[in-house]
Amino acid sequence: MSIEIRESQWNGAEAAALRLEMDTELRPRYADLFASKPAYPAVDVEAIVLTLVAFDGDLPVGTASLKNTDGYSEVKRVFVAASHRRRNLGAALLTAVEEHAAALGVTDLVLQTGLRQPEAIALYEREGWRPIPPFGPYAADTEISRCFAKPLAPLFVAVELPAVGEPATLVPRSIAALREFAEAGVDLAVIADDLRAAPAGLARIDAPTLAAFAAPTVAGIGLAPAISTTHTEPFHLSKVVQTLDHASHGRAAWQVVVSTSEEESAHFGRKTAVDSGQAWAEAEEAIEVAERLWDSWEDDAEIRDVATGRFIDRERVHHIDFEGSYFSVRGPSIVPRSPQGRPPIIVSATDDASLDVAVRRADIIRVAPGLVAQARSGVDRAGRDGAVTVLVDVAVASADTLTATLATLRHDTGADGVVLVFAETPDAADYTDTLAPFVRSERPDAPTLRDRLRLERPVSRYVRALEGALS
Amino acid sequence: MTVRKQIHLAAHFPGVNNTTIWADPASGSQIDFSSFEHFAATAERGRFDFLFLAEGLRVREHNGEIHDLDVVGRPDTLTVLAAVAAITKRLGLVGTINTTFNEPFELARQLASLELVSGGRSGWNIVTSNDAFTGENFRRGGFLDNADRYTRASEFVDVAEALWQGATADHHGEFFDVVGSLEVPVSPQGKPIIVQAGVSAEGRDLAARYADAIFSPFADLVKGREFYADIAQRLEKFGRGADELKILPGATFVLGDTEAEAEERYQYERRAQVSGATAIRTLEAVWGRDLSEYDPDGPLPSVDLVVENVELTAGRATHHKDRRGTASEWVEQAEAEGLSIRDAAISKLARGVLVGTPTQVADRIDEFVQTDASDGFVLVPSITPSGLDEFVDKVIPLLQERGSYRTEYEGETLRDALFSG
Repeated sequence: MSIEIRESQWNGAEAAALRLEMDTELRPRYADLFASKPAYPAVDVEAIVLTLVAFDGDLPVGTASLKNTDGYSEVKRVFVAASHRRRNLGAALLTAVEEHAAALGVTDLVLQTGLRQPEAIALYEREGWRPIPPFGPYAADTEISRCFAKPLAPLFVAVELPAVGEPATLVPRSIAALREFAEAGVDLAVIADDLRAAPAGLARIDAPTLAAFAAPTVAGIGLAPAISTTHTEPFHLSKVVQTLDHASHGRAAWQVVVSTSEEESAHFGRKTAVDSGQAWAEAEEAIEVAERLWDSWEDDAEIRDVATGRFIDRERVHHIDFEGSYFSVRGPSIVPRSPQGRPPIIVSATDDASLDVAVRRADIIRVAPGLVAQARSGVDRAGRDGAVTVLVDVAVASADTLTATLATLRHDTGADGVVLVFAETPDAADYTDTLAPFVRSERPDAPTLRDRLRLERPVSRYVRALEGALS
Repeated sequence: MTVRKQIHLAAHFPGVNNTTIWADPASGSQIDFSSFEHFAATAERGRFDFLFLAEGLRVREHNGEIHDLDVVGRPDTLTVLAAVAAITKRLGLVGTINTTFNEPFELARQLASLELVSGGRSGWNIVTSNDAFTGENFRRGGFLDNADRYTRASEFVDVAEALWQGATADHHGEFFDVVGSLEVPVSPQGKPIIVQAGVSAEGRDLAARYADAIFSPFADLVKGREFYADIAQRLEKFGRGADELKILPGATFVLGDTEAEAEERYQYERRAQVSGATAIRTLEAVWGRDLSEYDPDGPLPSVDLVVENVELTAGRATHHKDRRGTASEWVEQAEAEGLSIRDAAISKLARGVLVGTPTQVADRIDEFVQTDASDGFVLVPSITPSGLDEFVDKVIPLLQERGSYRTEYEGETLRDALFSG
């Protein structure tokens, strides 16, 4: 059999004939159900962006289309003539639609079929489609509609672990979860931290310490400890993140957090609690200091020039001379430039003050599902060039409802991905199958976190422009 | 059969001093984690008590410019130790952390966390500073009155120890107000091992009161025995037994198949450690002025050129108080022994060193320990990261043969390693 799949027209004779054959075959299966219901509205031809027809020689034997429906990219009317079934032609048509859709920039596909088409349902499940609740025009029809989704581009999937737990199992459970999530293809793990009292009977751990402990033995996942800027020296936290970047071969990031409670201030006894506005103003200065320190050594500062006896070229190691409202830092860093140059900055935009800092400073902005557009317009207003990844926080208690959330996440929220926030360290193996369709399938050897975010590795701000011009 | 006093060894990752030879082809990265992995694995294979990391919180400068002749740059101490904890099982992990630039609650929490991930193998080498140069990197600066350094350090350690016991601190002292608890589980060894390196009277008292080990500068049998006896007396004053504190002088080592070969290698290493440029800069630090026009292979400059009260070197421990006196001493010695600038610098920069065949070095270490000049050594090789390999391959088996050194770790924690043997 030599089958060829060609682009065609929705209203073309071959496609129309095949759809008629399909209706004729299926209508009797649903006759009793539709007797009491209105029929589905006719397909709006204007919304069809692609129609494919499969030919066996000159004979049209299968079809499939793609339609824009309420912002969804929906696969429509997949049909194979009775004479040509059991030859994987359905799968070939789906693959062809997916390839065309991807070329059109579509990131997620959905489709609707019906409960009395078990052969179709089996096909979709075999081809990696995941069931979702009825979407868009089918939302009210939970009786007959069976809907499926398939992501064409992976989501950026992060998890946030609480770093809280039973004293005896806190570390091993956290490491096991990190390892399972890494193996499941999760891009990034944020390790939360909190200097306040833990819930009764539970214990905490310093997030950077846990991240560093994970770095050598947990491969393939970004590690982002939460570090507060309110009481910690920016010089210290900058070298911690930089060192984590060295130890993890370019997988470090920093989740910037602030401390606004009296309880935390009392640990330090230096100042009374500050409000969010002041805490984030200080955090923004700390980010500036950290990024300058990360740039303070140019990449090629270490020269080991035996002839002149010089280990470094001191023209390429720079004081940062930061003078702010909250602190001044002379520099340079004690740590040479790290694999990513500048590890990504993560800010959760939970109020106006943090949103302001996030849109100006963060490489990854975390928001509630309804606030993605606000974050993106803020980034635009800030005049940022370069990619900013916007992730929505989703609190997760079990894997059950996660597929539906992820399948329509981009459509529903406009985000680039998700942070699955766990209140307790989960048994991450439970999530492997659920996450599989949504995470990257390719695993390059040693990607840095910036690679995964499609962020260029930045040139140090202290590299003189002249050098670039001359080289 | 008498039980021999057991030797305790620590492995000091080569740092940013001129003793680290970076120009040698075998010299690797001081930053890449693979170097720490290699060094720690060797130390654990050699059943060392602990890995030791130094710290410097500002890149050194000389005459207002960043010092470029020695290794520059190092990773964050506690972050490296937490990562090394993941790839070692019994090796202790001791980091140098300055009380002046840290807060007790925060540092106690970080160390308690290192304790937890390492299963009770952490240690803290307490240093204090009044270094305003380094303070420029910190919001709270370093402008501490010299006299307050040890009082502040004592109060710092008191707060940390209370927090490590799992207590809710309600401390209001001269230097700190700390309320709260760490919330980090108490580790198997209870609290991190405390190491101290000060040799002043206050430093010795601080050590005798708090420390489990002293990183001492006395790699000399006579001075070592004096120091050992002095510390024993101070321990008594604080109600502690002589066996509750290990004294470990810092030393490097040079091995050869024959004594002559070891000596030849030692001379090579000393010249590699002190280039002509390093020699000039060493003299500049004493003379307090630019000497770049001088020939390192020529005679020393006149003492009359010394400028008092100018500190060219910033960010390291050695400072010269009586410059003219120091310079006179150097010039006199150079004239008497016919030394060039470079020879003189080589001689003056010499540190504790164990030179000889593996048997001679093993004998020397055992002699230090069996005659109470120390409890062992903190060994710093001159090559990163492979410099420790031959010591572990050649000297450790000899120490084990004579029954002075463990063949297996006694327990799981660093405290077990230091005090169960």
